[in-house]
Amino acid sequence: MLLKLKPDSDTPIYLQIRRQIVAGFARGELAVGEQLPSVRQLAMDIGVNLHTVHKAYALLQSEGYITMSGRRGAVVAQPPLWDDEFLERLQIQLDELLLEAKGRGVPAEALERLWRDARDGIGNSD
Amino acid sequence: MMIIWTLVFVNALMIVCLAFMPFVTRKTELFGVGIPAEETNRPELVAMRRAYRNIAVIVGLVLLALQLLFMLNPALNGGFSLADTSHLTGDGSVRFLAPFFVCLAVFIVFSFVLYLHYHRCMKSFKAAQGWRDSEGVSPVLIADTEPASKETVSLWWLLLYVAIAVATAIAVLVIWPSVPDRVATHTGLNGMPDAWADKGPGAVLPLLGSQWVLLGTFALTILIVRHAKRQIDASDPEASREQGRRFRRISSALLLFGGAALGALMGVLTVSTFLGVNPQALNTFMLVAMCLVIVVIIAVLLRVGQGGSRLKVSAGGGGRAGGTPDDDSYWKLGVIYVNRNDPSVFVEKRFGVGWTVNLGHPVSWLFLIGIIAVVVVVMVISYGSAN
Repeated sequence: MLLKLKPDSDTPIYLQIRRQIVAGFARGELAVGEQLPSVRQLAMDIGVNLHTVHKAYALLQSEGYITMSGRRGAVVAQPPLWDDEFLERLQIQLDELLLEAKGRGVPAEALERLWRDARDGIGNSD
Repeated sequence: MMIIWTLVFVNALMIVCLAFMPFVTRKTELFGVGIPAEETNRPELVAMRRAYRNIAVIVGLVLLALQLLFMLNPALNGGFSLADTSHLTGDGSVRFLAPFFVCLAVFIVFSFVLYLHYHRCMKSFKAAQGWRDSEGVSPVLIADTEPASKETVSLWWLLLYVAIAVATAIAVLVIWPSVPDRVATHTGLNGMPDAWADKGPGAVLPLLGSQWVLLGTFALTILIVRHAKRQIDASDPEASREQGRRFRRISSALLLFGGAALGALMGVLTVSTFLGVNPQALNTFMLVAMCLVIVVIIAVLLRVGQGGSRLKVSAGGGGRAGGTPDDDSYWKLGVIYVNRNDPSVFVEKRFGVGWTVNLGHPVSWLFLIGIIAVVVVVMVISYGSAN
């Protein structure tokens, strides 16, 4: 898959990398066991500091999306399946989003449309 | 006569390479200036490319004609005639070769001055049009998640180089008993030997050493292809990625082949020298074979284009991902890349096919110093062995 990173965005580059790799895995564009570029190679290709890529990989590793080994470098891994703790974290993020929307008076229909669009967008409408 | 045509041919090849340069670079980087993907076929830009080529070809042909004239005219070339080539050694060959080197140097300098002229034209044209590379779209940086190591030839192939070097050394050892006490280590332009050495390590090591330097240079270049920045064009990232992959696969295979062919030829030359093969026949064979290898390499690179930009690929058509970040300020004169914030040591050239260094990275300086050191060592050794 291709990473498309926006240097102008409010989201820092390392978080953009993390999000796109997580999304790539969910969409099946990245398979378990697939090798990723080394930190140095990815930093060169993007043209950013090695530290930025290292931060993204460290985050992905701590979340279980990749494993890092000396010989094979970064490899896509099977993240742990959901559990109560994960649901709780989602709940917190969802609450945050909904409260922000409520504060700005977003109507319920608009929220539902967003929810449906997002579900269709990731190809998982059942 | 053979040598004259070879020297004309080498310069003709160089002229073709330099004259067609604007046609083999990425279309979004004309004369070292970044231009928006939608504007690459503007008539003004097409006219500039053609004018550069036409001027370069005309000047090149004039220089080639002058070179030939000087080489064939005994009044101008220090008394050389086709009938008598006996003095084509030592100082005689230096005088004979002068028109060749003058033609070479003058054309390289001329084409660079011509490039600079069009580089400036391009820059002011871009400013006048008010182009920014990221026309209204926010810039996007694109990277492939597949490792680069899968794109180039396997490094195990480098064992082929080791095999060539070892085979040459073994062959020399095997024929050693039958080698005469004095060995011709160098032949003049007329194909006759003009330097000898006593049978011993001093006669062998410079020949073997130059083969190792050649094989080492090709191996290093393959490693550079593997570790260079992979540039992906934001206007059609999928197609650009596929072109880049093929470009790196083709160039690494081409380098592997070229190094193996030239290395093997040098091995043949070394062994034949010790066997006392007719030097004139040997020289002719070597010249033709080396020219062929170089022509193949150049022809493939011109066909493929910088970054594979001239390759047709079925991937792509997915539309643009965003704007291309404007890198012009990092490219001094459009050819020298200095970017301290880029961790890449090797990047694709803007004007030409191949890679260049990022002078903003300290490792690139070590690399350049290393190259100069190797050149100096080779020159010292070959000078030492010639005396």
